[in-house]
Amino acid sequence: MPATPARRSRLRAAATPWLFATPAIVLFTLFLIIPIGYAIYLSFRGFRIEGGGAFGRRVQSFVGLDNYLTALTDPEYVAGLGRVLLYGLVAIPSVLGLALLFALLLDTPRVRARGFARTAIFLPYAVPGVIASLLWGFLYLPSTSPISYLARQLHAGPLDFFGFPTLYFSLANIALWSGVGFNMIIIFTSLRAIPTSVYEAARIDGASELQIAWRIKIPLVAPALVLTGLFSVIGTLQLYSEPATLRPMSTTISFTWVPLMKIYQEAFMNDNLGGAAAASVVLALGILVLSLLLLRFFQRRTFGDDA
Amino acid sequence: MTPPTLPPPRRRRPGTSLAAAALAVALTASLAACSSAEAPSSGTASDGGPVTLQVWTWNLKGTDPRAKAVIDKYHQLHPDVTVKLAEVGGTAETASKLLAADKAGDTPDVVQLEYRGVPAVVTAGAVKDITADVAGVKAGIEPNIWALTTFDGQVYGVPQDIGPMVLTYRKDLFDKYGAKVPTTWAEYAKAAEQIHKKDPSVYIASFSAAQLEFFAAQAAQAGAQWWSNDGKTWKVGIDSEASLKTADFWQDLVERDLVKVEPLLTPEWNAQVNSGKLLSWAAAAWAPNVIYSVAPDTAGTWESAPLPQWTPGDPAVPFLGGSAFLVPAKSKHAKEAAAFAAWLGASDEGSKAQLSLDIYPGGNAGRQATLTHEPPRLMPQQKDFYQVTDQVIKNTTIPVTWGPNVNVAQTAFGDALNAAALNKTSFRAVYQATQQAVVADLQKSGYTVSK
Amino acid sequence: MSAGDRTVLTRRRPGTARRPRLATVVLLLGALYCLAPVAWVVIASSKSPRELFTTFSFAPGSGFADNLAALGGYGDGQFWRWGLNSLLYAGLGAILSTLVSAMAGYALAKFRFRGRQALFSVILAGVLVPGIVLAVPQYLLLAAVGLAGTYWSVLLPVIINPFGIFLCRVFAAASLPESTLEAARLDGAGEVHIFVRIVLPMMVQGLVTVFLLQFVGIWNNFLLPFIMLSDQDKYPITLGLYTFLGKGAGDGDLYSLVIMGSAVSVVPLVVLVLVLQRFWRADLLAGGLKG
Repeated sequence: MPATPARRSRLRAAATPWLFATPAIVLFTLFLIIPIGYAIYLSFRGFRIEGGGAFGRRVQSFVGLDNYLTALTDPEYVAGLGRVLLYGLVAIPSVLGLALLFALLLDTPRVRARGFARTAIFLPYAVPGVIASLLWGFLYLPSTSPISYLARQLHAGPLDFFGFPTLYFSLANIALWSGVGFNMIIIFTSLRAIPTSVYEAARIDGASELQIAWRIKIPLVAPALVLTGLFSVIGTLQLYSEPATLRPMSTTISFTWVPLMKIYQEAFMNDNLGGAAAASVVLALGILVLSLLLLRFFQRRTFGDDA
Repeated sequence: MTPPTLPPPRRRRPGTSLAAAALAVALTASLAACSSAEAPSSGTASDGGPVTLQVWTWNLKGTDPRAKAVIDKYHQLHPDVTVKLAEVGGTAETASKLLAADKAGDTPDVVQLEYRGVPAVVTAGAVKDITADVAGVKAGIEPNIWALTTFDGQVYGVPQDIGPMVLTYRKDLFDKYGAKVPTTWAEYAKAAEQIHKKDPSVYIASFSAAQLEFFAAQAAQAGAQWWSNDGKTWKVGIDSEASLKTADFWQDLVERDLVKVEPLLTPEWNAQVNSGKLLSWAAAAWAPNVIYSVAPDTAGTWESAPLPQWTPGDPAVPFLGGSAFLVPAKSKHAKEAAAFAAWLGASDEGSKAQLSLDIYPGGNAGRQATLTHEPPRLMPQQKDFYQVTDQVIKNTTIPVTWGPNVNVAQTAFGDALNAAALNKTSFRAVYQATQQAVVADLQKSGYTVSK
Repeated sequence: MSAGDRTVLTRRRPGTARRPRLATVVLLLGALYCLAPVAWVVIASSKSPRELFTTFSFAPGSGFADNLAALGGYGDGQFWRWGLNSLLYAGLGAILSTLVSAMAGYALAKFRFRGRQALFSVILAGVLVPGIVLAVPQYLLLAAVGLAGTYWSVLLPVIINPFGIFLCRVFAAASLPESTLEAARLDGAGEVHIFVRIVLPMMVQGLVTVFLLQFVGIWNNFLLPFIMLSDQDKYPITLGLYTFLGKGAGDGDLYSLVIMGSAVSVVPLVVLVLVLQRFWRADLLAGGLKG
């Protein structure tokens, strides 16, 4: 059948989006799907000794679900998941809460120093996580910490930033410092996107700024909160560089304190790529399930069902 | 060129190469245009022709003019060889990068590893047996040092630097607090007590649980071998009675708060060393340079003495730290690589050159040269520093064998010992748990472990 | 109503008589909290190695020029070379990444086609996989085609950025009115022409956001270059700074160089943030989830 112009244009229309998506699809396949597939393949393999003797050679072979069983029954891995959740309970609400507070304050009429504060609070986002952790390490350790210095001047006892439960707060503080500005900007810009007419009536009715914030603004920025919350959850479960950088400075952070440290340990220190891959698959599935649950829960509540 | 004694070459892993081939096809399709950009290291054959050696090391820093001078010297002697230095990390990072590079067939030609990391890469098949290549330079290094890189009678690396164990301490402050320099560990405990009593903010030393190697050396000094083998089976002695006695010793000091539970070389440790709150470090002859790098102002107040003994009159100690140069199994220039490692570690010129880099040479000529060398910058006043360390080397008669799974012990031991020190629970239990973890891991990998 | 439309509305707030002092105070406290550690890095970078552990944390030192000279002189200016490498990886990587993300985001937002939702879900799932897991397989893959250890090995993997694609889809949905695209198509414009001349300019503010996020991400990336590179001349700054930290026994930390290097390496990022902030349009995130 000869192609009519209309048919050709339909064909063109069908092909166009795929052409635009091609670079992304190719790169995604090469650098994510294939490596992920390879990692899954590795998760069923492990090293076993061949050749006998004290210096027999390690050879990779199929080990079935061994690596998954090891990961799921490893008390350190499971404890790491617990620690990450505990840390998340401290970090996520404080990051989101303060980000929301700062955003609302920035959005308050006639507030001073708005530009300065916005830039200053956002600035730490540009500091790499490893360097942020190193510098907070200096600020936490008793001999180099200005906070402990002040405490000594006031004859207070030494401050232990790495004890229990203070360690969780110390780590959450680093996340707060690095992340509050980014989240604040997202919430703030979504506040700016609300037309002022929405508040006018409330103001005329004599509502205070606090009431406006609580009753009108917060419900309207709920989608932004859900989004930032979701990415905070994903980021939290992938917590790595802060505890890994602080570990050598403290006696309370173990080599396998959080799941990713355990995964790094297996992959890079113990040359156990299979075990690392299995633990990663478990973690990624956990993140996926948690994200979907959160999204489903909040989407229904905040957006109705149009999302 | 391949000696008949080589262990069987590593089996090909069909799965891996199949996957790699599939990936290769996928990639070449899209990357053909750019893949010509840079081929992996120069590929001339071993005989004749110029050769570039890729060397992963932290001893020779490409950025250090002194290291450059050493390399220039080698270039003069071997105009066909170009040595290219790179610093990729410490033992753990270098080993993990080497294992990845080995899987990819993209290895350098020489890698530096501390002795404790060598068995793991040998059993992974990632480094070459260079017994034949270094046969000619055997005389340049003492047998007890070659033992650090020799397994099953095969040599897998050329020792470069060594760590004769010494106690480095604040001479001025030991005097001030009236503490005697300890010659036995019992005296060490007494000195610790005396110092801490005189000033409760001051400690004789920090207790750093992460220093697995130090505790292994302690146990070795007391007569225990954490890893040993008879060529067929492994024996793990972490929970042997001699080893547990050293655990008791440190538990006692920690419980009486006579040592400060604090990791080494953190900003906190550095500050405490600077302010005279930590007075000593039981380590090796490389320690003075490390202390100098964090506390240069304290130079002239330190001295080094032989390590305290468990049994009075028995000066035998093992080495602590130090490193060797190894040749990766997939190096394309193994012969030249082994020759370079041998020159730097075992030749007169090479081992003397190490001294110019503030490295304690393992080669005989270098060791001889230390005797007329200025003491380290930390103790310019201690003129007999190198006489002391040379005597220590003569007393270093305890061989330490490391196992193929030191990393497993490292994490299990360090974490548990930290927890025990904080919670004041049994150190013995930590040693016993580490023993179990190490044995279980060896067995899981398929090694035979004897009781 | 889309987010793009709403932000266009100019805002005029009826003046309340009183300035909200408390709000200002809290904001300034927040700013102080965020700036103090940055100030510490700058101050600490002025301390000589001996002052670093001995003087009060916020007391300036006397070694700024020495530290800077030591950093610059390290290996015949190798630090500056690392800086240029970082600029190359982050700059070029972020530009390419933004372009790829823009194309994919546009396709996902503005075309209805079979498999659209599936494609989007698969790409979004990429956010869930920790980079640590992918580094080794990516290395083996690139080594198989002889690219490991080259500039490409660090550049290519960072071009794909699922989060960037997600942002671009959201932003394309919010800022590209159907009517404009339809009008261009009726005029007979080709799809590439429409993309280059209409879509990119209209999305430019969102693209700046994606660029900035990816730039910072690549600049701060450590693991990928660590596993890929072994030639020190190709290191980015993060990896270079890492070589200042102690390695084996007998090798001390060069803390003062690390801190000086950190201070210097943060400067380009701060400048970039300040310059690009005028384009900062993160509201695309918030609006898009609704639309």
